[in-house]
Amino acid sequence: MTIADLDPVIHAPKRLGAMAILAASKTVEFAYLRDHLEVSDSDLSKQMATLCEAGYARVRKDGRGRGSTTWFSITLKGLAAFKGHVAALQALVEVAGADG
Amino acid sequence: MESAEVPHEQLAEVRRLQDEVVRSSAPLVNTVAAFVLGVVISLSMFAVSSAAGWTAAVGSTALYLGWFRWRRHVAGVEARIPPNKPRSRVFLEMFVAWAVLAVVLNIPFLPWPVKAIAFAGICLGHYHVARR
Repeated sequence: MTIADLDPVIHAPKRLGAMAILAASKTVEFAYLRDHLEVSDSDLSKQMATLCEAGYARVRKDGRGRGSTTWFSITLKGLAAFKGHVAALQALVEVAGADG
Repeated sequence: MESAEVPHEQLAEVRRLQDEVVRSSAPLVNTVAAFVLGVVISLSMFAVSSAAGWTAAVGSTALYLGWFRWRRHVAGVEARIPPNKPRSRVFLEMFVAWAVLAVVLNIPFLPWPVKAIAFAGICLGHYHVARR
């Protein structure tokens, strides 16, 4: 594992946080992600759009208008990418520990 | 080594957020509810021929699923049971386990220690899931 194994789409801290929550969940509501990542609505929308475009997450909307809720879930491709990214981070920490 | 600080902090944040998902989903409450449901199903299967038994089993299952869906809606998150096993799958496994137990308890020639071990096994299974 090297720095090249880090996924640039997931590497951004907000997206890494979102992927961490999605990987531990079956479905996650927009508000839950926003509150736990401590980001604004617009920022979260942007970050999730990036993850969806990469095929790492999918979005589903329940209801219409003001009462609608947006749910996110991770894709198999996203789960594999997240696991690979976390493994790369762990390898970097272990290498640093061996050096230090 | 300063360069290791960032990956270390990122991994710690990943763990913190994932723990938060499990806490928010109240797995212990879900498991207790599944346990109660299991008892109802198990008892109902003793009276499987009666309409009341079937009504209790089907009714309690429907109530549990409805409550579970409501819980998910309120919490805004539905945790997977590690390793990434959907909660619906865990529910199905519990359902099957209780059904098997009901059959085992109904076998007349099995000695009571065997039945007690089977019952304890189911309880341990629930405890195992609750600890996740």
